[in-house]
Amino acid sequence: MRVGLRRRAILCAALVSIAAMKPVPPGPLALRGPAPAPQSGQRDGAEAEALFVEAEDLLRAGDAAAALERLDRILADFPATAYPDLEWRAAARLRRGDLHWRSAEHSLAVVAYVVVIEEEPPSAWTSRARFGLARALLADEHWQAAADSLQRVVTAAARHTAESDPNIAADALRLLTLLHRFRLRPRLAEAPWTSSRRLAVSGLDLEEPVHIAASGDGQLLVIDEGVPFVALVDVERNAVSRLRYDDHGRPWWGIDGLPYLPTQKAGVIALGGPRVGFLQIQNGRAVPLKALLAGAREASGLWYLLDNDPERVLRFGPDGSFQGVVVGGRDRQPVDLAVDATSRLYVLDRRANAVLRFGVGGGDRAVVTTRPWRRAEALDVDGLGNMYVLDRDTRSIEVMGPDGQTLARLGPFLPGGLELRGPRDVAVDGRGRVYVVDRSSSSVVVIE
Amino acid sequence: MSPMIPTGTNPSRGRRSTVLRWSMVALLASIAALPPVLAPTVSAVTSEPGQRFVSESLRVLFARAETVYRSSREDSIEFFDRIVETLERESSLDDEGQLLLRRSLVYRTVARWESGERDSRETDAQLDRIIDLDPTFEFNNDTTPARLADRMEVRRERKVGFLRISVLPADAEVEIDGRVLEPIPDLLSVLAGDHVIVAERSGHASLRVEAEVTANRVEAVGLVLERSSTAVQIATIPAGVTVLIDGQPVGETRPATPDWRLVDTADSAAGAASAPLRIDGLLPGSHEVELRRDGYRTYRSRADFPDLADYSLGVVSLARSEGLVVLRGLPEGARLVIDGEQVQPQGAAGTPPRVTLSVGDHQIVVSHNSDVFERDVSIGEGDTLTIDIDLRAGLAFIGVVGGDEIGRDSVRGEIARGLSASEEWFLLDRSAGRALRQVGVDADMLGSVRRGNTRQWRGARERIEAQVSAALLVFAELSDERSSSSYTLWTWAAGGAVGSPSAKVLPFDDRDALRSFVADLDRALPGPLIWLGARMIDSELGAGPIVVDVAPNGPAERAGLEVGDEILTVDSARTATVAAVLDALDGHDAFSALRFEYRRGEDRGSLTVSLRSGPQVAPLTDRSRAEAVVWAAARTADERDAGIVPRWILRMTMAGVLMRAGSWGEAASVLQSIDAPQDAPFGNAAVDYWLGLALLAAEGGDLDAARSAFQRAAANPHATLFHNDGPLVAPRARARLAQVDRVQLQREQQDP
Repeated sequence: MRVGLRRRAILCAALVSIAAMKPVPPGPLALRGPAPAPQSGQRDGAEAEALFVEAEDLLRAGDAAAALERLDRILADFPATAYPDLEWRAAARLRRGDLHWRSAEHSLAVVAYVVVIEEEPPSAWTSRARFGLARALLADEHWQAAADSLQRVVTAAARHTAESDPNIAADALRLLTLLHRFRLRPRLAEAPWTSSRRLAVSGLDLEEPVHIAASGDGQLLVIDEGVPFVALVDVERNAVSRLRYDDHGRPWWGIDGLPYLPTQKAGVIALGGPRVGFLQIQNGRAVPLKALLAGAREASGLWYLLDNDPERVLRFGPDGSFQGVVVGGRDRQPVDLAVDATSRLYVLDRRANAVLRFGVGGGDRAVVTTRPWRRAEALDVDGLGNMYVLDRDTRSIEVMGPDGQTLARLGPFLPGGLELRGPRDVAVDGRGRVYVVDRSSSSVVVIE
Repeated sequence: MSPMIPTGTNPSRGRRSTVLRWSMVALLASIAALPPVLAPTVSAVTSEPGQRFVSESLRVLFARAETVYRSSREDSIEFFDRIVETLERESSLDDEGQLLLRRSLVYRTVARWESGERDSRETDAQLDRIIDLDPTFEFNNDTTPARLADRMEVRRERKVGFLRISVLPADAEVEIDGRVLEPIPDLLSVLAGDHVIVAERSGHASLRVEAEVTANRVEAVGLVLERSSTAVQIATIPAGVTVLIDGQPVGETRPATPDWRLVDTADSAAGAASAPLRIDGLLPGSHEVELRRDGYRTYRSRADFPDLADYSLGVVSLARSEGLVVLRGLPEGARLVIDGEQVQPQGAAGTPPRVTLSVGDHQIVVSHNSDVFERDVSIGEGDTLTIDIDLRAGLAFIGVVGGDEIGRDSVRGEIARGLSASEEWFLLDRSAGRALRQVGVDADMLGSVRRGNTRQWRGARERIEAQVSAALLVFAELSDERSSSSYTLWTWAAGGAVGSPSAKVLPFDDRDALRSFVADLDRALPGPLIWLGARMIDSELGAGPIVVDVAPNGPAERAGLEVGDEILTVDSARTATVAAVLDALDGHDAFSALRFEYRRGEDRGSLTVSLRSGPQVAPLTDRSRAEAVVWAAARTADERDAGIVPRWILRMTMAGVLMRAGSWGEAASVLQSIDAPQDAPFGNAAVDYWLGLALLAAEGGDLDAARSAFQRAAANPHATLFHNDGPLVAPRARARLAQVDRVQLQREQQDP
């Protein structure tokens, strides 16, 4: 079905409104400050900035090797002895750390972050390095040390020090909240969630909500197949936009901060970003994907799309080029997927009753867990790598840690007494709040 | 053939003045060194008010003439003609001019004679002129043609007569025609004619007579002086003493030195007696004699001179006048230098050290390690001056470079005043010296330093430090651009451990900026920091920060705070975030007792946390303080070993500066010398961590030692960096262990 003129207009309005309320995505441009004047005989610090921007472009285009070469050139050409105050050297070290992390060279990534923290002048990059260090410490289960590092990011922003970066501080605060919920509360013999309620959204009446996605800061995309429509709900729980949507795909919130919608014929629409069409190769021919159900995009720009005809997960390059099948075949029935904060892919396989986890780039497949779910329906992952699987028939959500151990089971009766009657999708935001669309009760239930 | 010297001296003339002889020596030396060139034009003299000197060009011409004379009498005539003509034009000549004229006339007369120009009238005229200039002159018979010498004797007999002078008392001074006769010759040759003779002596009336002398005859003159007053002679030790008779100054004693040596009385040897001072004009009777000199006790005495006669008071030695300086707080082992000489203070046990100083102005300098104290004092007779020795680290202000002199003077004064306000540093104002100029510190050199090239600077720095002893040194640089509205203050630490000097630009005439600079100097070392001993996180699940860890035996644990507690208020101030808690702590000192309100599960409670304090060290990235200042402050405090900041923190601070300067090996040495506490969060683990960093970064560093250091640092999960509530050491140490492995792998690949 073609998108009609009226619908396009609504979409545009939605894009404008989203762009207006969307937080500034963290990135180097937001950090650019006045560069110190070069001394006589020295190269201009703007050269370092240009190299860094070039490296970022190359990373977005998927050329990590060339990006690494640019970053190394910054480190070689702008040493601390001659350019003690240059922030772009810290940026280059940080990105090198990120690349090590993506390459599973975790110890080298940690070294890079520590070097930024200890040897580069304090700047917003320091906060980012602290965040990266915390992420690495969490992977090794040093959660208190990670919390210490994250808290320094938050405090720096609150006290407006040279390290202050409000965007990364917001991420750090959310991660601290998750640590409170999943590490500290269990240590104190408290449950991670203590209450639930039906979400009241101003200006939005739900009929048959079936899908939901949550951003890190708690924005929601809700799809209702009764009307049908997709609605964007802000953190104040106002429906800031609503547009017609009569496909059946699951929305998702990309880690680039944009909400995405899969469509049957128009590819993927990023609200506030470009529309991207995808072709797959079948029998030597490029044919468009026609039954997109879900998707995700990770930090380097790779796309993972769940196609329903046949049921499989496909990987596409940052430019939309088809790269291959990640999950497929007769013994697989992928029904949902997600990408975590470290760009790892998770796929819920209904036939195998398993959650599959893949390394960065879609390799290193591992079965994280298998469970006797009756009808595994939806999957989401939080900032700590905890997995949330909705079992539609038992009307419950199983929460599992990164190692597959069950942390909690929510439903059908929730903390606070609510009952899930017909849950169809689950989403979790950056604070660990769980959102369940309950088609039977025409509501979104939030578990806090 | 030896050169003919046609000059001679009549023994009856006596000695020439010593000054004249020295002039001649200098003249001959200069002549010997000059090439034989005939100057095209010469002038006779150069003039200064009241004096006329032979010009250099005339000296050169004379030397040339003498040279020519030795080879060709005839050719030399032209030269001497010119010299004579030039000098004769002058109405008056000094001694050298007269000597030059006379010698030229002699040379020319001989040259003409030997060249055959023997016109008798002309020759006689020349000989007469020579006699006019020096009646005692005689040709050297060995080198002068005999006939010419004979002719000279004839002319002398016609022009010169003789005086035989006798005087009483015999030590009276006699002048003839204004020239002093010293001594009086038995027979004095003078031109025939009238002469005025004056005789003088102290205590006697002067005598003046006119004598008419006839050529070739001897006139006898007898002079007897009549006593008119009493005379007194006195010498003093030292010289330079003002003598007063009956309250009236009558003269000052002079050093007993050769008359050609100019000596300032103030510089004369203190123990040497002066030349005798003769005082006359006194009436017989009793007189009050008073001797005065600054720094000496005044001598007063009454003396009786009953007759009109000469008296002597002999040699009077003046005693130095003195005062006492008490040096309160002078530490043992301190070096005391007064007026440039090291002095050992006196004083009984249990009393403050003291020194006795002569009356007058003195400079007192005390140094102890890198600490200094300097004071100018003025001592009066019998004064007791107590000085509190305020030893502080030495800050030397070396001077100002660049700009013009007015600008330099203006800035120099402003900076010196500003720096003197420091409470931590003792200003040694050496800005009037020339140290900067002598070692070549200028805009070019400083430009190189700014570009990171410190090769020239290193040499200059060492030479300055050889002249000026201080822990920290400062100088100012002015821009040569007139439109410039600022100057740069360069600072460096003595010893060269910190590579480059630090530069700070300050606006002109901005005392606040200078005060801020001084304040930065004074707060070079971070003081103790309050210690809570609890790690908290912000969480959107709670109303306040949540405690996630407490330091064993720390203030929070002692007070009863537990993991999971939610801090609601601190001293009644709402604390919604960790930053708010830190803000609440900021205004408090160590050992403050603060009330914490908290929620623990469903319960609420409150407790009192008694804060403690702990040391802190600046992170390696801290650029808020100039490294040179931090280094100098830490080193001087380390030498004192008695400050507030613990010694291990001072050494860690020094190591931090060395690491920032890239001196990894030296930093490792310093760190290895540290004995840090083991029972506090911030202590030996932090030192081990920094030691690991230094060993890892040092060229060819010991990786095994670095690994061991990081392993020790990683072993304590509660250990912190920088201060007791600082970031945890262990995670970073674990990361650095991975770095050690990587570096080791790289080394093995490079050198399998």
